[in-house]
Amino acid sequence: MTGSEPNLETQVQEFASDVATRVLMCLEGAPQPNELTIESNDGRFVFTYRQTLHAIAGEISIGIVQLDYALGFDRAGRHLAVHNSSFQLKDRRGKKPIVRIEYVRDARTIPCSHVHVHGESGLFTEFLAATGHKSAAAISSIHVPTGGDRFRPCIEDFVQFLIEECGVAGREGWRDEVFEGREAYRQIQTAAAVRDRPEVAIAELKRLGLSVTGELDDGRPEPRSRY
Amino acid sequence: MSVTIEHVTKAELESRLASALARVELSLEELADLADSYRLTADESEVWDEVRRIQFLLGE
Repeated sequence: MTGSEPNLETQVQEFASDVATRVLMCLEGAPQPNELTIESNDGRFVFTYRQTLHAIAGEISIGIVQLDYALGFDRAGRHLAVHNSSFQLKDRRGKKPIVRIEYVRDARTIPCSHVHVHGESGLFTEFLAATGHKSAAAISSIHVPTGGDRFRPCIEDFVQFLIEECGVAGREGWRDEVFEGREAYRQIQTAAAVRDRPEVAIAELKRLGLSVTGELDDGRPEPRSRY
Repeated sequence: MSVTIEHVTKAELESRLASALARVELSLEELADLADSYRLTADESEVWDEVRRIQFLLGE
């Protein structure tokens, strides 16, 4: 164990608690199970949060929302980073996915941030077959890109999607929770985008009439530019 | 909601990987091939998710 791991553990625990609490406070339903366990090995962490979904509060469950996270250090080895995440709408047994929003930090051949839709489309399958796609019949094999590392959807987007687009029951005050969580997420992602491309941030600040002093670190990591 | 961290060893993870694969009676390569071609059943899909979690924890 290194000296920095306890701090990372605290960050991971807070992150997991925030995510689960946010979803529970926004969506009617019950966690399955009622405790959240994070598994850890050698500075890497995984956890899964599942909760029932309802069309009307208190009535029978119509589906499951499942969140999976794999976490560790960032490239600089200083900050907590999401390595993989998956936000899933599943059937009422929690067995079959319906929609998945996923992020794969180390993706090489697919969009790192993408959506899978588990549906059928004769037209889409016909189109894919014409291109020679290897799994034309499985529409769910398509990775629809959603903004890359920095501009990908957050869990609050998925919660709002479930309530407003899919019609699942939200709890009183869910809009405020979603707004607060999304705002925090976008501030973090904006900061990361600035670290990626400080020249752009500096130019924009100057355009706003501000001055920026200091020298940029030549040794900083390459900006993330994947889709 | 209580949130706890469980430390798991490499040996425990390798044992769980073997048990997960045994549940669907597939080798890791066979399961990966099915996943790659989007032909997993619901049970195989659950095992594949478990395999990916284990592989991440193992740093693979």
